[in-house]
Amino acid sequence: MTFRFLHLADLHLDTHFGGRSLAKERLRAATSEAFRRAVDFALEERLHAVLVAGDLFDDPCLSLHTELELARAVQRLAEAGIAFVWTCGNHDPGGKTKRASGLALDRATEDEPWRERVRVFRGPQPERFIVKDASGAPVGVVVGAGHSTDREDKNLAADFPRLATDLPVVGLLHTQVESALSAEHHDRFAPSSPADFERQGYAYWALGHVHVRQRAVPDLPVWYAGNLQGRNPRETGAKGGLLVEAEPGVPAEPVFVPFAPVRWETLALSELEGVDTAAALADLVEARIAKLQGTVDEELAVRLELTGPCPLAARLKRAGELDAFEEEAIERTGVVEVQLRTRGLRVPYDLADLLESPSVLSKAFELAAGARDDDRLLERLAPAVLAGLPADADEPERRAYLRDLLAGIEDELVERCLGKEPV
Amino acid sequence: MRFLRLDFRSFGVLRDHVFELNPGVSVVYGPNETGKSTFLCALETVLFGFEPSTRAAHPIAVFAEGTALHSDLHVEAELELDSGTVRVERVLLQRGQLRVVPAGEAFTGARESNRPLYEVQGVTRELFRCVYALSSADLVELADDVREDVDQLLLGEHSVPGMRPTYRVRAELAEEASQLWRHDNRGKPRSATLNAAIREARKAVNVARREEAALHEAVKEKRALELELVALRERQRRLEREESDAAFLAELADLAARRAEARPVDLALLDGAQLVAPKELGREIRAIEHKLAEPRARLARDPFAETPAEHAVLARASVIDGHVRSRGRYEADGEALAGARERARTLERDAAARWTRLAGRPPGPEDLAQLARFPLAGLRAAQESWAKDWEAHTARPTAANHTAVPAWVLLVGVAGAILAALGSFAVVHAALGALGVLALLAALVVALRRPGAAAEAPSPPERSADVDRCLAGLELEPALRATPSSVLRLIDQLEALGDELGELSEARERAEELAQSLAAREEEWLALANELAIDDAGAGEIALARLEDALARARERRDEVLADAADRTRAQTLVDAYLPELERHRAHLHDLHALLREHAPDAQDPAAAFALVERHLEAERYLATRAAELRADPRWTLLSGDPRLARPEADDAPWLPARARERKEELRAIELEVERQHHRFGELAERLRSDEGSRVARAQERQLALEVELDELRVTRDRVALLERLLAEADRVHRDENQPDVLRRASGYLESITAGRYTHLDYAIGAADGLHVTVQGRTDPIPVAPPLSRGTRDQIYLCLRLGLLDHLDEGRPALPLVLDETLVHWDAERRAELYPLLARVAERRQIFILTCHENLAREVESALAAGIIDLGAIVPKQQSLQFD
Repeated sequence: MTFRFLHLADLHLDTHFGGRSLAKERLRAATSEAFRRAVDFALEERLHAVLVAGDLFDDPCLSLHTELELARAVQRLAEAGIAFVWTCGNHDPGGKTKRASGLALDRATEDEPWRERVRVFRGPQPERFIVKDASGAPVGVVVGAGHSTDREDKNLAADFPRLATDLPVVGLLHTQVESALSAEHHDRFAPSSPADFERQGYAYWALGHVHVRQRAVPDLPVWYAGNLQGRNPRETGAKGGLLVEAEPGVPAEPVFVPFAPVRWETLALSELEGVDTAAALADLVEARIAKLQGTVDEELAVRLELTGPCPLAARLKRAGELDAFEEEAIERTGVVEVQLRTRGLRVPYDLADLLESPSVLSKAFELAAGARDDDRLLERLAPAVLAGLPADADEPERRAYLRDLLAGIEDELVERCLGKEPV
Repeated sequence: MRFLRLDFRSFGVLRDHVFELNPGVSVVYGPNETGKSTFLCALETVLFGFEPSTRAAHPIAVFAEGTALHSDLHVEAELELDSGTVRVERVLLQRGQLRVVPAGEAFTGARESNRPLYEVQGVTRELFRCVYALSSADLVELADDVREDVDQLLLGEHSVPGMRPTYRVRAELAEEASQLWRHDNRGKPRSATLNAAIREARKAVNVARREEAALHEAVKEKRALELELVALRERQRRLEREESDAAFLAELADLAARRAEARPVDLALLDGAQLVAPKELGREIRAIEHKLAEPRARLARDPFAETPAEHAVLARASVIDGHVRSRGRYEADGEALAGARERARTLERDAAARWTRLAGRPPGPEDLAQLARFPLAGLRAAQESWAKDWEAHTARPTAANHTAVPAWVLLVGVAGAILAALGSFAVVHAALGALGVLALLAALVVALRRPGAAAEAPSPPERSADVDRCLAGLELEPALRATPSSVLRLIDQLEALGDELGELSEARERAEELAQSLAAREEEWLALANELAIDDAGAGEIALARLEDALARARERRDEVLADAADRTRAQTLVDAYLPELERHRAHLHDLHALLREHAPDAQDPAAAFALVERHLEAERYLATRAAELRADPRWTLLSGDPRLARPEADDAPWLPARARERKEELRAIELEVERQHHRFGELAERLRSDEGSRVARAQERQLALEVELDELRVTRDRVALLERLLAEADRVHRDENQPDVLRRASGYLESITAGRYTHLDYAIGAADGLHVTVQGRTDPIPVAPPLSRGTRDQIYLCLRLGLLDHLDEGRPALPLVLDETLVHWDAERRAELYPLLARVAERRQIFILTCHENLAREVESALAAGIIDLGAIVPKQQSLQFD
């Protein structure tokens, strides 16, 4: 018997976004829309189950509106004979006082027998759930464990049992596999290592937490589905779920199915020495985005990394100017969002000329370069009070912070010392 | 450059007065408003010209307008320069004018414009005012419009073309940093605004959470309302049902109450009889006895009986009735007999006539007998044969074939004859007899109409032997046998004659039969009359009449007997019928009396007792009727067993008016409550319908955006602050390595007047660390700002100014230094330290010390051998002017 299911993770319903109001609203709607698409896909494909590997919603205060939408979607699945299995993550922990416990999706009643097809793994102890097809015949076993708190630090994967069954077994967990790509961008909750997934012999592991879709452990069927809809410029590319057809004792190979209606992409723009007017830069940006639009099906949200010398550098680094330019780009291209990053941009200057004769500027360059290696010099240059550093930060943190501040400071020195006088 | 002499021709309060000035140090002393500022203004005017340059705008000239003072300003000075002594004249008429002449010469020629002296070039008026002419406040703070110039002097030369002054960039950075963030939040930095906004955003998040919770509460409230509404509806339905049931329940309660009061009458005492009034029952008993009187009398009389003769007649009544019934047939037979006889006579006449026509004579008895045997069929065959022959000869058909009479014709004829005979003798029914006659006649007709054997036509046609042979016994007219056709006509005549003779025979036989039948009946009648001993029986029909009369009389008698028997039977029936009834009535009356005694023992008489019992029964009947009516009502099934009926005395019995009022009020209250809840329900539904969701996320987005902005702002601030520090350090190092001349000179002065306690002056532009001084024995310079004492700071600033003056005056005559109350904050010890320095300075430049303090004036006079100008002694106070 083949156990066919959809592996979703990190839906983050009701998430809060950064950026412009319109973009935020579109991204919020896109998150719900992606979930609806996933549900419709499961119904059309007559799958056996939809597995959600944690972080179904973003905040403990899930809105009533979203809760009702979620309940309706789950009911649609369950009434069509499709199981809905959800394990709790750090955003939607399942402790008794937590929000996920209040969502009694799996509390079957006489009036609502469909809830028998719903299962929520709320606690750290692994539990099993037998998935049945529409006729009631068992097709697979899901073993899952959930986060009971929003700071689960126990290795949950290590406790997953090996099962003796003829049915395909699938592990469902919200975990940070330490070796996973981009794991460093996520909090270290329910940490696990590749060795934790070797001994169970499961046909598939459906993981959540890391938002980059990937095989989490080489040579093993351990997969992150990635989040359902990219939420910020770091979460680029197509987003969706993994369609899995699991056979007993055979490592399953999932197939990616895109669901996200909005796609984040990052574009790098350099060689801007000749771009000396806003119109020229806008034309360049429009052309690059249009080219990208031709290659994807989704709506686009774009981050543009502007680097190198540019005559517009000083202007573009002013907040008001940047906002206006981004608005202009959105208007021209029709994309959901445009974000410009100008930190790598600098006014054009010849460093050799600047350093040719002794001056305050050349001395400042000399000091900045020295401070990157010399802690004493760094401390001498440091402001007496730092606003952006926690009061309890230790020395290494403080120095790292200060050195971060030094990044690209020469460009800024040049801009400020050689730029025009402010009006 | 030193002022040797000042001649105030007309300059505000100072006019027509000449001051000889000490070339070293001069102390200008005078109380307030005695012209110290005017004196200073005159020094400045001599060097730089009038400012403003028009009389209309110059404050001293304007002040003089309308007073005793002269509005034209005129001052002359004698200056010692490196090149010699000169005289300078400054006059403000409409505009300021200048004349410079060597000492000892008179002012001649045209005046120049209001220009500065060549000897002060490179020093602006503003710079002179702030640097050369120091007031107490000016010592520490430089005016903004000269500060930049001074800073340029302090900071040294820039080596990068187009680079902005470092102090300005630093100032911008410091300003930007403090506008972004300050740890003490002074000056309302952006971070404070953001923090406030974040607090508001957090509150908004909490509000959103509460709103979301309120939505959940609204859902709960909506569900609770639904349940409450259901409960209210149920209560309303219950009350409405109670309202609708109340009337019926009232009826049931009334019925129950009446039942409770009812006195049931035990009609079983009447043994199934109905309850009637005793008087009525007695009347009925009497009526029955009256009805029994007549039957009883009838039964008492003897019954009627028949005589034996009547009995015998009645015994043969059926026979007699049969005879009487056959009287009609008897009479018909008589008439038939007469008819048959008449018919026979007619047929006989007709046959005789036909024969006479054939034979030409009346027939004899033999003729008719012979004719009866005549072989008509043979004749017909002979005729046909003859006719054929005849036709064969004449080509005309002459005869048809004749066949013999079939057997069935004979059989019919015989049977008909037998039936006719039997009918004539009344052996069989007359109708059968008549049918027999008809059958006989038909057989005869058929037999007679059958063609006989072909007569032998004469051959050739004139004769037929067969015909002749057939007709041999008959004496007929010859013409009748002449041709086949004549023979054929003969045959027809003979056939008709035969038929007539047959009918005649039948008629005769019938007449005979009828005559015999009639006679037999008459004999039978007579015999019966004789048997019944009927007198005078007579013959024929008379006997029958006698029998009929006797039978009628016997029957009348029998009817009388039967009627009498019926009367008796009826009487007996009546007696049998009424007697039990009478007995029953009597028993009924007995039972009735017993019942009345039982249920109305106190009644005075049976009628009263009966009336009472009847009332009880009436009540019972009413109850039964009412109960039946109520049972017929569909509500009976639902309400007859209502427990509230069991306690009719309860205050909340539904049919009570008070309860009805309560119920009405409660229903009204429920309606109002339902309306209110509907309204609330609608509000909640609308609220839930209009909920767009993600409220908390939106609020968090606002908070997040602000927090991100604050984080970025902090980083930006730190970066800006770091930039400023970096620039400051670079500037300091750069200046250390390339220290400006001003600071070098100032440091020298400072070290001199502090006896080496402060060694080094350093300067940078910034919010917190402008001028720094290095203390002997310390490496880090300390800012020239509190907590450094005001006196020390004044010393430092004075040294800085002196260094600055030296720098500015490098390469040209040193301009005078004016200290306007500069030493007022200095204690005696510090002043004592200062005087040697001033003495040294005075070697190079003239010093004017302006003060209102006489002690200070005298101290300076003695310490520095200064000349004293006592303005208070010269200018009356009321004429004084004040200038800022």
